[in-house]
Amino acid sequence: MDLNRRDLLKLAGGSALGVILSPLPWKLLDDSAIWTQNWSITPKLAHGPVTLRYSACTLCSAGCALQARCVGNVPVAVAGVPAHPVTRGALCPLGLSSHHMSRHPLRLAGPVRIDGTSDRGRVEPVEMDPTFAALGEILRSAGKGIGAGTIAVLDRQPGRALSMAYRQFLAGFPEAAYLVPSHLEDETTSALRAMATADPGPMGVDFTDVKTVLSFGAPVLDGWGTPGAMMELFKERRRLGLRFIQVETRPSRTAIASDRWLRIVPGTEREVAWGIARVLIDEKLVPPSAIRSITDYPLLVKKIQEVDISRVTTESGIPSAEIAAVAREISRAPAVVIAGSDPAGGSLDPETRNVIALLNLLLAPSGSTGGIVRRGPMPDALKENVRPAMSLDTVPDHSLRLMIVDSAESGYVVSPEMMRRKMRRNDGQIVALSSTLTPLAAAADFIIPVAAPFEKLDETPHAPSAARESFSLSLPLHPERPGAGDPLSFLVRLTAAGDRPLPEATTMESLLRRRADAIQASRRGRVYLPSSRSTVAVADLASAEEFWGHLQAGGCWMDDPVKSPSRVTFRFPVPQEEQTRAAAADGGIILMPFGWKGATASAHVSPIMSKLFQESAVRDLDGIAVIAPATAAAHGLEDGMIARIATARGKKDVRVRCDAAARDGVVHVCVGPRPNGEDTPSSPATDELLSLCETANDGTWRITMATIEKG
Amino acid sequence: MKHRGILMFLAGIALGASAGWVFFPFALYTSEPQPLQFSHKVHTGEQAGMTCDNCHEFASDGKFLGVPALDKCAGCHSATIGSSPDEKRLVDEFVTPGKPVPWKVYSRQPDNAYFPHAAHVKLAGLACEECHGPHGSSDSLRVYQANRVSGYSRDIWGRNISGFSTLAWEGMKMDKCVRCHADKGRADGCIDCHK
Repeated sequence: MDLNRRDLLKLAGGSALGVILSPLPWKLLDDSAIWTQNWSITPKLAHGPVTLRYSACTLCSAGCALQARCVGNVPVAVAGVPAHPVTRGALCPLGLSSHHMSRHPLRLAGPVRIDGTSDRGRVEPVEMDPTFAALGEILRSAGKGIGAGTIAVLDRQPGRALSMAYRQFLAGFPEAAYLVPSHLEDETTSALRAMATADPGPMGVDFTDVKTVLSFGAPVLDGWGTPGAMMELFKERRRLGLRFIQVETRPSRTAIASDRWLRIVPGTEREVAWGIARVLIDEKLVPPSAIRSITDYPLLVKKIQEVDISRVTTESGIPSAEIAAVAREISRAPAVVIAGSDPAGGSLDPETRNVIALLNLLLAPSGSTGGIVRRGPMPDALKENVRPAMSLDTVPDHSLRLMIVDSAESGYVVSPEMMRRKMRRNDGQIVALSSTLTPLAAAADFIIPVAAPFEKLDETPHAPSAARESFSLSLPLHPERPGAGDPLSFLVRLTAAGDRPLPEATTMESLLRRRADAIQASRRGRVYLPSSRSTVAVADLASAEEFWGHLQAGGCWMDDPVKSPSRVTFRFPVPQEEQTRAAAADGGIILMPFGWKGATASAHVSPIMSKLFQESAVRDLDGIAVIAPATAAAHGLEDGMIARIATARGKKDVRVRCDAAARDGVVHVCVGPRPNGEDTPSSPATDELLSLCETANDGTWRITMATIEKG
Repeated sequence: MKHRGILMFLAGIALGASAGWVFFPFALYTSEPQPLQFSHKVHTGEQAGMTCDNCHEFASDGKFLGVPALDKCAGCHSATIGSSPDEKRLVDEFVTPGKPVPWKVYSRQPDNAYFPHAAHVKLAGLACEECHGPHGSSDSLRVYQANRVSGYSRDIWGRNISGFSTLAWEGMKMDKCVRCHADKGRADGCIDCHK
């Protein structure tokens, strides 16, 4: 039979149909899909022995201890450390995914320069050597004398061993500033320390036997201090007879969970604090021991008695009966009064912080337990040859030649505008150390990449208002990444480039070892060993090596309480001028930014948490505007609508969320967490919301007058 | 020739179908013998009377240890105790030099599938044969056939190239797991098995 072309075509057609009717193409499709899972570029799960390693989260100042389940030395899951005496097993969602930060999509591979001339900023890779050469030149000229410009370091986690290294470095310059943000959860203790007639040393807040916690704006039940300890107090509050009172405008999580919430008119914290002080004085609720601790007490009483309670009520919106009830409650049993900052709303002004701190003095003198306590300083705390700390907002505008922003996060926003305001107009440079292209780092001129969490040995942060010092290591869980050193290695290289004396310790291990050795030599405190859930007294340790070994195994040192602290007296700086408050214009609204600790405009969250936040309504996201229904209706807005907020500084579109608990005439707009996809490696987004806010001379930006309309 | 076209077409169908049904499996799978022959029947039968979990154990933390390690075999076979040439090879080539036997695992699953034996055997009370068939009474080990494209054992898909089987224990693909879970009233989400 001769086959012609038509026959072949029919044969081929039939064959094709036969193949389609067989498993061949479908099985090949299925197997090909599986084959793609085996490509070398596909990430593979780790294989190997399963181990448990201890470390600590460094994403904010809480420093929660964690245990990492590792497979073949790769951390695959982290959790809190149960029974940890400091952090109580807690770990927030950011900490639970902190081991992912090394693979953040905005991870920096090398140093970059930010070209801020365009609206969004442009990121350009630069070479490390020329960058350090230029910085070295700045240091050399700064070292020559007055007028060459002030060198500064902004440290958002002061108190670390690295902080001491920075301060020693800065001590070598005639004009230098060691800067800390004004809101580090130590607003109250810092204010009290400043009021003391003789420096009592560091102070903290001890909740032992405290029956009332009166907080002015501090998120005490939402990340403040050591969150695990605070949540444990909250859980046990009925048994302990502990009550929480929150003074705050916004219906925050702390406000809603508190036993009493004073929903004040924005910016009237000072008035309410004065009102409470007036009741304490009028009803003679101030104990004699407190009176004795305040110098010029009669002058203070005279000032307090000038407070008009009815005016307090009018301005704050809080009935006088409620103010009196709070005053009586905090005077009845041990209480502590805390001034706090919203993580994105910034701090209260200094005078308000002072008045709030004063309430603690009127309740009881500082002791070693319960309330404001003195805290033993870290054994290696250096008193000489270091720059004293100063608040960023107190730096004269346009005075800094070079600001180095350390990579450690406090969990609270630092205003990029405030940073830039401090720089000299023509030649001021900000160099940020960061592992990722965060919005804060993008406000700098240069970014030097440093190690991500768990890539290098680091010191665990601890709550600034902790009652006792603690020390532990954030041990590495990931391999080191070439080109991403720790901030100390940056400092070493910088000092070499600037012909400055090298730091005494040039590696993190030697730096932290020095601190550990000082602690061991002091024979103070105890070490908690997580593997055995036991503690051992430092005095019982045989050697510094043994102590270091415990730390390397995840141990945590906790100081002893200060025994029999000497009596401290305080002088309250009576303000001379009345505060004037701006009111919203007709049709206007008060804009109050807010955020939550660790996920504000200063930082990134891990990719998985960014995804979860956007897919759930557990937390408000960046750009959500919380507004009372009546206020929304008055401006033609509804829940879910896009609105446009405008201030004298610009406009931004937000999404409205109506909340009946919000105060009329106020819009609370969330700053972060930001969807990771909004920023790109070449074009970081700026903080539009924060740039709308007016930053006052005292460094606050809590309240801005605004208008709102349909978007 | 009458109906020549139709005949060619039908011949094509037969050709294509044969290629897909008959020849394709030969091309798709490689065949490799196991490093040693092993008789489950000898070990579980009347002679030794062992059960599956005598060798395929759970660790104290609940983790399933799978194919036993060499020391499990060496516990009895530190020297030859039978007359099988494979046993002699086990002792000479593996036990004596302490070299693990490179068994080829028929039921290897991908890394993204999390399968805890403890949950299925201890909690759900499933018998080994429900998923592994009469493997425990086999007298020899089948040739290990690996899919050239996916890399997995033929046992995962099933002996029949179509993937269908009347035997309940044949095949170990996801649809089988899902069907069994549904039959037993388990409502699971993706993350339960793909952690």
